[in-house]
Amino acid sequence: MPADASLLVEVELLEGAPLPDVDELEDGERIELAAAKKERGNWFYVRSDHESAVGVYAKGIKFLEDFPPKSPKAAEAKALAAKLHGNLANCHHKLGNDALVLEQCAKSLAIEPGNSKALYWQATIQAKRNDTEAAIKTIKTLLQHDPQNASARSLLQVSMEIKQS
Amino acid sequence: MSTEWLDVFQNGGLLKKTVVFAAKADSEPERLDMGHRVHVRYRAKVLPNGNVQGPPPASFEATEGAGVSLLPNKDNGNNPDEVKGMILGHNDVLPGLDMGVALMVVGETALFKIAPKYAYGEQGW
Repeated sequence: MPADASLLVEVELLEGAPLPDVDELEDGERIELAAAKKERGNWFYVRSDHESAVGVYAKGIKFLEDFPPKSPKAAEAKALAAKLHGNLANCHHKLGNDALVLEQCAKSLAIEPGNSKALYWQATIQAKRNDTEAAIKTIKTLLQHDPQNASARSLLQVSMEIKQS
Repeated sequence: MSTEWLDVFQNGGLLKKTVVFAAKADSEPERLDMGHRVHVRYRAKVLPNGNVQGPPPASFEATEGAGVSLLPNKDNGNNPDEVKGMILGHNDVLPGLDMGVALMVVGETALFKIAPKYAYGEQGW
């Protein structure tokens, strides 16, 4: 798509109806809708439109709230919700909203304690706030779950040096 | 038969024209609203620069321009018909289409001329 493009679009409206309340949707449909929001949010993220990405990711999470825990798709829903919260944390970091980063990390970790993105962003904010002890603890948790995580290892190294100095 | 162009925001940024009316129903067609889920079939082309300020085009076919996909990461300039589900007001598609489709009724076919600020802006993709 070229820059500054004016478009001509022909649209046929095939169907349209109110979206049912979330608890009336099929489990699979909820996951599909949330996954589409994740994709769309990623698209805005890549364009550095972090505000729009936040709005879209947040809508995705709405489809997964109070997901039936006994559903065969419950694990999938949990993993997706943890990812969406992790992506929200990332966006809030870009927007400089540290408190919201921590809030989203906490939500992500409540769902999936080992979510490496959430742990990474949590540690980043803790380090930024000079809470070095907490940052080191968070990174060690992250490395237990994801030993190969290179950014985490370099963050750990920096934090250890700060602690020793 | 078609309607006149409607200048949705009175600023030339989003123009709409009905090209096929919905079949007459016994009851008034239900109006769409924010939060409704819709399915649309659409095709799109990029207007040549000279056309941007010019008069709105007469029809999709009669308008010069390269076919383009509105879905990123998908090159379908040669296969322009796409069906897409979207939720109105959710930022699922470019702003001009999100707002424009909200003005349609089921069964209608409409043409939209969308300025960059209601499409992909200075950035494109």
